[in-house]
Amino acid sequence: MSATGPLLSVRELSAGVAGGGAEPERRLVDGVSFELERGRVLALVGPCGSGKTLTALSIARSLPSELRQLGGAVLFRGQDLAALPEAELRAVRQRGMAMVYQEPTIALSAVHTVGEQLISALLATGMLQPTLFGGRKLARARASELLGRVDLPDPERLLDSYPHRLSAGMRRRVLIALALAGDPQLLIADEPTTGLDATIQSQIIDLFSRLVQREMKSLILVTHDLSAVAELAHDVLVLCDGQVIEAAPVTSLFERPQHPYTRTLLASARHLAAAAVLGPEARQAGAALHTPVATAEPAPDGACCRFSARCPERGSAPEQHPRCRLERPELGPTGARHRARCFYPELESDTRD
Amino acid sequence: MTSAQATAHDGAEDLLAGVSLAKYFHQRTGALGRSVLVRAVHEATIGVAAGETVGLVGESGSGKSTLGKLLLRLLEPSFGSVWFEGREITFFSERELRPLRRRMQPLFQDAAAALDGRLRVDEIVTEPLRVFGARGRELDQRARASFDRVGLPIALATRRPAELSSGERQRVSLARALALEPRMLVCDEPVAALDPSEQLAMMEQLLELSRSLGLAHLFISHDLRMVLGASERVYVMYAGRIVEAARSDALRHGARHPYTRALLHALPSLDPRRRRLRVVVEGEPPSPFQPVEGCAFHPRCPRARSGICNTEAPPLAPIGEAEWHDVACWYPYD
Repeated sequence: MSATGPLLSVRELSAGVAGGGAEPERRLVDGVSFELERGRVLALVGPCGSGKTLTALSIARSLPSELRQLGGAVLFRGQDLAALPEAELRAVRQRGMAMVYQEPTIALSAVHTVGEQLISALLATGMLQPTLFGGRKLARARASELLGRVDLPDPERLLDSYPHRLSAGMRRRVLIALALAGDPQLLIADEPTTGLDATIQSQIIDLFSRLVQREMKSLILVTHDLSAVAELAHDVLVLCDGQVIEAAPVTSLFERPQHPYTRTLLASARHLAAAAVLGPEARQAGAALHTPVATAEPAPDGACCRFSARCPERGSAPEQHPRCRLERPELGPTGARHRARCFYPELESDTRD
Repeated sequence: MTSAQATAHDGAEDLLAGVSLAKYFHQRTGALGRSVLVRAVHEATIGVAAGETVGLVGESGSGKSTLGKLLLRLLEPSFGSVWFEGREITFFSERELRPLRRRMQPLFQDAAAALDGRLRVDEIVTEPLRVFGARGRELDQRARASFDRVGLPIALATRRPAELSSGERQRVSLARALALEPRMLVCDEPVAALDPSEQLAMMEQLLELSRSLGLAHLFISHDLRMVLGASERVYVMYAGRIVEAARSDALRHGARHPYTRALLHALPSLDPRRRRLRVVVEGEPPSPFQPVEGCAFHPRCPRARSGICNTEAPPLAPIGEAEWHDVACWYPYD
């Protein structure tokens, strides 16, 4: 295990349907690259179907059975996960990285108590040896500690409760506790704040932020909640059609979004926030702002920008965007640590040709 | 609706209303556990006038979705009455309800799950029409009109749900709900699964529909921001009860209930330079299985005083000078 270098390095990762025979290969994640250091938070944002969840699942090596990693490499602590023998891979999944799932009803069993589920997760990490005497008692004490770490009150009583008897926010915390069982360095959270009211949302964000700041955990945050991104992330990748279309530090992305999709996304979120303050009438006045961009129209292949058919900016002035239909843009630098897959980014100093 | 009427409501004046609705479930705990009475909804009175957009906000488990289903008569109330178009429909049989169901339609969050994956989009949209007897040309025309109304390109008509984006699937659900030309739409988290640009587009669509068709909406969501941005009046639910009800501008500037205040103060920012964690209230809402004595919010409430908050649940009662503002709190904010 190398001590230097980033905790996680993802290089040209592709995943999807392998194809074979007449079936062509279908890349749902297409050439995603990034690095993540300890104690940092990377947010993956994008519309449904953009590949953000699949990117996370590929890293955790938890892709659904019909999908495969099709190329690239995931290096965790310098080791290529695809090349690891099964036993070592298991160790990485138990103690190196952990998924925090979105849907408690899937990730939590309804017929076992919270304690039973935490204890079996703890035993599975191999860090607790179940001995004939006292092993379970020790595991129970550790399980109770875990519940305390995610700010759940009265852990002893909770251990004997069934998940369906807890509130939604408590179930979300139990899922985080389960992920912490192996004391992983990397947490991968899929929509951890969705569906919760604002008071609980802020508590969950606060909890993740403490795990990152105090325990130097790294976090991959998969979400479409831009306020969670603004509160937690250091860096952001915007995905569309399986590709990274913009990559930047969070302030740079929020203040100078370069890709038309990112601009629409941020403008929409701000518009919705303003509507809450100003009311439906104000909202209606600004309705023209929106141009729908998410559609399932297959991205055109060949030599053109995949986003061009849906691009609101090209759509309103095609003559000013001649390259979009002729060439395919690369993810290129547009500023300090800021990259975008667009021929016509909004550069700070005007260097357009 | 006046304050006095909000509490002593007869249900007949609104398009859709519930009066003192309650839903209790018996639930067994564990494999051998005893049966526990769960109060999912308790004494909720709510009304939506014709053409009006009303919000119902609460977090998952607050009872808001159960209340929505009670109003749609998809669940039997344990207590209280349901009113539609001025008639009490609490005891209507499924046969009596059928013609009414054309005029009050649900729209749920998970569009993908609600749509039959084997059918084409046009078949999905026209299915309710066929059930109600439309055939041939009429069917065709009405399907087209439904597609147009929700801004769905007719080119998508022959696709299957899996080939659509989440925003498009939600529009298909909406087109299907609108096919029968309802007067009332009960939308439960209609935009929660969408990204912000799709959320905005869908919200515009829903608001445009209420203007052009005079459609009434009950808009159910966990997201106070979304509800305030869309609704004229808002009901706030906590642990199975309505704890505050007011016009949205009154809530924005003068929420009286400590829970509503907390929700408003906890609204997150969109500015990464000004991160400020506003954990405004600690703790969680009580589990419906372990109800709290007194006011359900008191263990988290900054204003709770012992003696009454922890012993007696406050009734929902009119407050202040506003035309319509009810709050269930012993010590509301001024």
